[in-house]
Amino acid sequence: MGKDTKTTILNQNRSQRDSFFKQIYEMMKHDKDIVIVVADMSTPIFDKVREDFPHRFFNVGIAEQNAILVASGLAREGKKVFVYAISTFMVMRCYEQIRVSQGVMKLPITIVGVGSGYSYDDSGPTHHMLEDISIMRVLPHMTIHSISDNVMARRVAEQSVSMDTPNYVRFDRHIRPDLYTDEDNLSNGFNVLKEGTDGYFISTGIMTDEALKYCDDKVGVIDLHTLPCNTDELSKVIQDKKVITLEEHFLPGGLGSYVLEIISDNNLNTKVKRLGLKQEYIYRYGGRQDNWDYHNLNEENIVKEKNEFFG
Amino acid sequence: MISELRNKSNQLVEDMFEMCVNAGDGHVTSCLSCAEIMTTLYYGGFIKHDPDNPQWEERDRFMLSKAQASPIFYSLLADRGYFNKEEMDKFAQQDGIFGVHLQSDVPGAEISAGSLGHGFGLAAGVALSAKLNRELHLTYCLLGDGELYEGSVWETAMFASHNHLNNLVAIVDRNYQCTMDFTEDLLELEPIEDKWKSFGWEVKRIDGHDIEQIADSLKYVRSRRTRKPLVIIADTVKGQGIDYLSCKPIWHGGTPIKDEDVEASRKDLQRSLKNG
Repeated sequence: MGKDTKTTILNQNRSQRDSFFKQIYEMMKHDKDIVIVVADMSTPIFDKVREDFPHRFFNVGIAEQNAILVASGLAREGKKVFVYAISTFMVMRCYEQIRVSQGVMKLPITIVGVGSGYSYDDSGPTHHMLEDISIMRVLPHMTIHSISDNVMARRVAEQSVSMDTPNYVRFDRHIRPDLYTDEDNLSNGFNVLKEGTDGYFISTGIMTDEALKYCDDKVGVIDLHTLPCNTDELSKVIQDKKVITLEEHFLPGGLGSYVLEIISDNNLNTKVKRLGLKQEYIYRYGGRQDNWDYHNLNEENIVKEKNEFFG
Repeated sequence: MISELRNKSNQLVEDMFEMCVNAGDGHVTSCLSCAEIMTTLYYGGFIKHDPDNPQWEERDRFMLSKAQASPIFYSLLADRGYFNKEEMDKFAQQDGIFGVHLQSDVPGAEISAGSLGHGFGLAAGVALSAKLNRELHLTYCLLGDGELYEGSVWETAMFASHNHLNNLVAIVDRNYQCTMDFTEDLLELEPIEDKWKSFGWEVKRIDGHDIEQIADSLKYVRSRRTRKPLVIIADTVKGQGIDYLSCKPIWHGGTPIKDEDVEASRKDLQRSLKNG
């Protein structure tokens, strides 16, 4: 067992997915329309869900296509459905079902995937989620919530129940410190966690926690957690600044691409450097940091890029 | 009753054929294999519905998973008064409200479909919702036999029986043809009844062009004393009623466009309609 996996399992009660589903469990007590559909993927809180609401929890087995379809049929009849599995299988095995049910028919389900980036670092490319932002944001009507911490996980759970459009929530598997409080306003889809005089790192998910290590007074940090975000507000923040996008994701179509689109569409005077993963699938067993080292997505290179870009 | 249904089916087939010929579009042969099934469902009293209130909560839900047969469904919905029949003149035209496949915003259509296997999975979700809400309506789903090659169909079949969705009625239009070839030549589907039985379904097999058999298979559909979902395998002919088109893979997905093809098809159709 990889060292990161061991830590994750020992701390799973404190994971983003558990914060999220604990909140869903609380809301199930008062809202009979909430239903959970899983493709044979658990989290500790599901023991309680299954005990208290056995008729609103369905394990369809390892069958993601059917999970999306059954969830969509339930949503067609007004149910508020959360579908859950490991990210790669939850968005890619059944991508065409999502395209038709959510993209074409706009059926409002919440697709919950655990395992952003190298969350399953020791499990190989079948479990490495390196393309989800790219393929999910291209679908009409889809909102992506790229979760940065447990506070956000809980708050997005509250928000998801009342959404009437399709929703994809991506969770990291590793435990990182909370970045937000209940008082923070998340409504713009991004938050400036550290002001920068010359520019910003723009990051998402676990990379925001990383960016906070490399920022300084000149180069701040923007956590872009919801796609699409409020582009007018983001434009105001990054106009006439420099930006380094940081993502544990392939570059084509990912966070950096999204930021470039905003800059181009809004005629911003903003220079961009994109940092992300090489387009390669890898088998490595030295932990997540080792995978980042392989992709030059580590302290040494990020700081070097920052110094070169900002001068 | 049976002869009335036969006449209605004949009329709908004619409506569908002329609509497709007018547009030069639509999967005519896929419609012809399921005309009697759809007619019996909607005119034989088996589907509770209200054209004046398409979203009536107590209606039975009909999911056309083999959405390439949408032209016959649209002809039927027009005839039942879901929308003005003049819409049929605009089938697959720029100013039309429907085209080759199924579109959920057409009154009575319920879902968008065209990607095989989808409608069946959605139907299971809809049937499950009815169970959770203790609603008594049924969910019907019409599948093509070629659709059974989709893996998700069997995921759904397993799910439906495990969850005792006895309010779900699947009908398989077993016309033995796909796009390129006949099913038993390209990849055997038989023994099709055994497959469904082993997935926990109650199975009936009928002649899908025999209205009496269709009606009989649905007779006690609301009072079945079993927790199993029901599947009716309806043996049919792709292109039934138009010998010129039937049982020829080349005519899958097509509508006669050339004058000679239209005339030959129309002649065949008139002859078979006349002979009942």
